[in-house]
Amino acid sequence: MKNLRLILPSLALAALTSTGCWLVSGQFIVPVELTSPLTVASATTIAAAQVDLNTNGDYKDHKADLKGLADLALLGIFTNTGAGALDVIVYMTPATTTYTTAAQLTADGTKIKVWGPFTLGVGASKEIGWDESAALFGAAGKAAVLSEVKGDGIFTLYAVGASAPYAFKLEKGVAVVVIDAGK
Amino acid sequence: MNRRFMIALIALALVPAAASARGVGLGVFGGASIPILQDNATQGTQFGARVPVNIVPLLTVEPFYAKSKLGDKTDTFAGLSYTRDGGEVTSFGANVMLNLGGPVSFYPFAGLTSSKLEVTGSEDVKKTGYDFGLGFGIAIVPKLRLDVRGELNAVVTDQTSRKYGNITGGVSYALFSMP
Repeated sequence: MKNLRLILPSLALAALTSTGCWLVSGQFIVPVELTSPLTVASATTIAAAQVDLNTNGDYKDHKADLKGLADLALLGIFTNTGAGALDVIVYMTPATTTYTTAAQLTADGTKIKVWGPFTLGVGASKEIGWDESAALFGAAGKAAVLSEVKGDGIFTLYAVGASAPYAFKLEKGVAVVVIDAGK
Repeated sequence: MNRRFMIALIALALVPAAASARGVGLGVFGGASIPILQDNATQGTQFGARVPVNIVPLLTVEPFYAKSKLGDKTDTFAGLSYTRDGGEVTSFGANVMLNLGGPVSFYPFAGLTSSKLEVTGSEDVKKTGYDFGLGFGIAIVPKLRLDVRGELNAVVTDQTSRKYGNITGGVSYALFSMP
């Protein structure tokens, strides 16, 4: 019986330590507010939303221990101000960029589609839900954002229409990153 | 670890154990599941079923099924309130417990699980989990036993983990037991 009393806790301890220090870890929400309103008047008048995660205390506290992303979302109120139906797509450039036309963004070989499409009818305005937004991030987009989150934490987002002509705005926009950090 | 492989391994291990068992029971349990160090979920509920198999004196192996529904997370960003699905955790596993016997007992336990984490809008995560804890059992009438348990369950997601503190109460019925 004495042996059993030792064996069970020892097995538990061995299981806990054999795969590293994953027990000392957590998931933390890092929200970054975007410029508001973010107005896209047309394909020749787009706007950049620069994101600097270093402005968030949780991100700074856990930056050295970042292992992955638990969740991602782009939140806010999208309004279709154009004359046709709209599919909003969001691209990311790893560097801080300030493109003002879709053509400039298209020419950037480092850009990657991270989110969308989010469909809005003519004149429609919608506050996107957290669950709905999380589902609009593709695998490649998540990987790209993770790379930036594990890097300098600074990148640029561009929301554009899938096909011109388009016009819309994003109000009270927030990029939400849930980081997975562990010792 | 492959989910099917793990379930098959547990089942294979239990066949000879059950055949020569000193006692086999059937139980159900339910209680609270509390995410630990997880900003994106809140306290929820857990329920499940378990089959305690007393293999040798003092040692019980207990395959179980458990499902947790975690509470949604509501947060305010830029003045707007948003709610994120807390998700569900479905686990198949087995615990090994040091059963000191008697009508009233405290017992430590530890185990392995094959767990699936599901959150609306995110890809499912299927990983191996570990759990350990302490239980308190009391036999209220012959063959019927009440248990209260506290455990830490950690589902390992590569280099980190999702951790849950589970506090449950349950009842189990001894299908047969050797004196």
